[in-house]
Amino acid sequence: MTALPSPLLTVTAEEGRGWVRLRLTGDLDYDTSHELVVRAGDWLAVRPDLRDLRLGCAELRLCDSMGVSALLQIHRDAAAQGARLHVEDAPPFLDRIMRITGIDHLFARQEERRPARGAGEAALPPDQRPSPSS
Amino acid sequence: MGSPKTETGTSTKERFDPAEWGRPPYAVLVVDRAGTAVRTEGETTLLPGVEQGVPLPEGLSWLAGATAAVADDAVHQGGSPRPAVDGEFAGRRFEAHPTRRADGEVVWWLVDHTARYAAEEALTAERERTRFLAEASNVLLSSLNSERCMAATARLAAGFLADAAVVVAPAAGRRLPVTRAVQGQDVTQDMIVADPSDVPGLAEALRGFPPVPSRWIDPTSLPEWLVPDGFDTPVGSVVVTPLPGHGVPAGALILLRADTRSGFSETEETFARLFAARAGAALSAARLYAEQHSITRTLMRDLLPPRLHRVHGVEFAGGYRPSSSHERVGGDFYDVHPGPTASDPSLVVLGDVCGKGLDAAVLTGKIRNTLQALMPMADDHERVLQLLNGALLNADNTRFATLILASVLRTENQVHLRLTSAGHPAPLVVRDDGRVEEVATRGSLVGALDQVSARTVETSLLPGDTCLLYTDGITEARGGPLGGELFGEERLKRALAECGGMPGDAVVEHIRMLTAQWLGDGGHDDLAVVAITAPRTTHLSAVDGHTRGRYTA
Repeated sequence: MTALPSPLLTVTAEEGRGWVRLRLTGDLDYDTSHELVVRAGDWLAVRPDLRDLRLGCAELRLCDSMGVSALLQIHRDAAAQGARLHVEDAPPFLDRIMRITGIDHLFARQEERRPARGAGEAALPPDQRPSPSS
Repeated sequence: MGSPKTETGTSTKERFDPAEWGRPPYAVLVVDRAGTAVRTEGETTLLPGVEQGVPLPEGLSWLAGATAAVADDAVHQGGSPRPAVDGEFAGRRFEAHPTRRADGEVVWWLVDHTARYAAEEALTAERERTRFLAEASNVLLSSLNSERCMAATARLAAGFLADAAVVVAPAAGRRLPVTRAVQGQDVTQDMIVADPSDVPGLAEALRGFPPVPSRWIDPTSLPEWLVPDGFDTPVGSVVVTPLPGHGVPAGALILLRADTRSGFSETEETFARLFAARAGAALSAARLYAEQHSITRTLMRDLLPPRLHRVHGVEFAGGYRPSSSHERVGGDFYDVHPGPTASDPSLVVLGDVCGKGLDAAVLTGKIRNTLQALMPMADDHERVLQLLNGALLNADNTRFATLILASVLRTENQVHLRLTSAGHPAPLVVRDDGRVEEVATRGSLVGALDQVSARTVETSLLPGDTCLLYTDGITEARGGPLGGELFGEERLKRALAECGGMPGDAVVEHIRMLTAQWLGDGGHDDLAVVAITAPRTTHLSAVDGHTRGRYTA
């Protein structure tokens, strides 16, 4: 996967037809946000067909202003090639940050998610899937 | 097999037979009690004037004396080797090892140590210099103050390399900073009007050209300003050495010696250059630091939040605590732009720029300048935010800022507020009686989105009420009794509830104190708070001496 997996933020990817999900575990802050922008950019580059870029945030512990800046950058990059950015399973603190900063309308939320396993989803465990940055 | 040294008795004479033993590699002298060289062997060429059967020459009186002492000391015979004696003769240094014969004559083995002594002396001198250089480095590097650095350079040079030393720094304007030191006296520093070309080699040294050998400089041609006041004897020799800095010369070092002493040897001049290299490096580091410090200070002065005070009958108080990390200028800021007259609203801005360090500081400066320029339309917050957003937006990054705009106008004894949040935590209002209300303004952050929107909310402060604007450095402060816990909005509201009716300064101080306690020793982000307070007192007076005193303060 990535050359140096950051102990502060772990990103695992899974993909299906038209979508990629990056699961975030750890802190999205000054030290890690750039790394996530690069990872997301790599996926957008190798998957021009991407309709939905999903960020799985259930295990996210922290998001500071640079983290918000990263979300905005990924949103901008995704929108540039017609993909929607989903912020899924946002913990309460992330909800709050997005609400206060007035950016929550930018992201598709996961309430309508649950594409359910199957339908085009690869059966491999996340760590064995192809990754653009490997 | 016995060595000649341990043999005793007259029969040993034959053992010295060169045919049997070969020629001894040292000068060997047998000296009797009277100081006569009874016999000579080996390297006698080292001892010109010493002849068999003749008293030792004047230059070897130290050996004659030692002979008498050894001859008298019959007890030592046959025991451990007697101690050797050092002495000089005919320009050489010898170590003389004695053996006493039974008849009282003494056999001296003279080992030529001239080369070793010379090496030892050179080594001692070299050690002395190394020690001096080490000490010089310590002294020079312990200060980043360039005046102190120049003083140390002059003092060290005067103490070790010369009788007096002068450090000339590159000209500051039309003056020449000169530091003079005489051995054992105080260092003096002056700015003088002088022409460096008065001193041979000085103008060149100040431009970094190689040093001029001392023999080329005529000491009598030195200008008066160069010779330190306490230096009474005429100058005998002079060395001018550049002080090399990082790329640019850091000045020149001039060494002076009294005419009663010998001039500078080539070794000494070379050594002076070694010292100058260290001094120059330290000096230019000190100068660079001073320059950087002054740049940082200028930047900081411009970027640090201003001290707040009462404007048009409204109390403003601000508190700012920069991030605990080394990048001092952070992303939090606030400003109060007074209205043109007391009947125009003042604009208060408190904001937080994402990121930290220089990038954040530059963005902060941009925002503050832009907002100042937009003051004429400050009443329309949404418009101001849209224009600001347009000014900040760029394709390279999504750095953004969140901020609160507050238009503040005092009417009679009330303070009327119009508040707009651009992606920033909502302001809190604490009423005189301690009730805390959140002002329900919402809007999007600026600088990263094509479109921004915001909703402005109005409220009024009665005397004793305070509106608090704060950055998330307060609510996100981690600490507490268990450590790692967020200070949080609820705790902030509870803290504020205790501040009903307090003056603005006291509210700010209270919040600052609580967060500082909460943080303990922990690291933190920038913290900024601004309190807008409607003053409680109602006696009639002119508010600030410029207005007509129609309002009460």
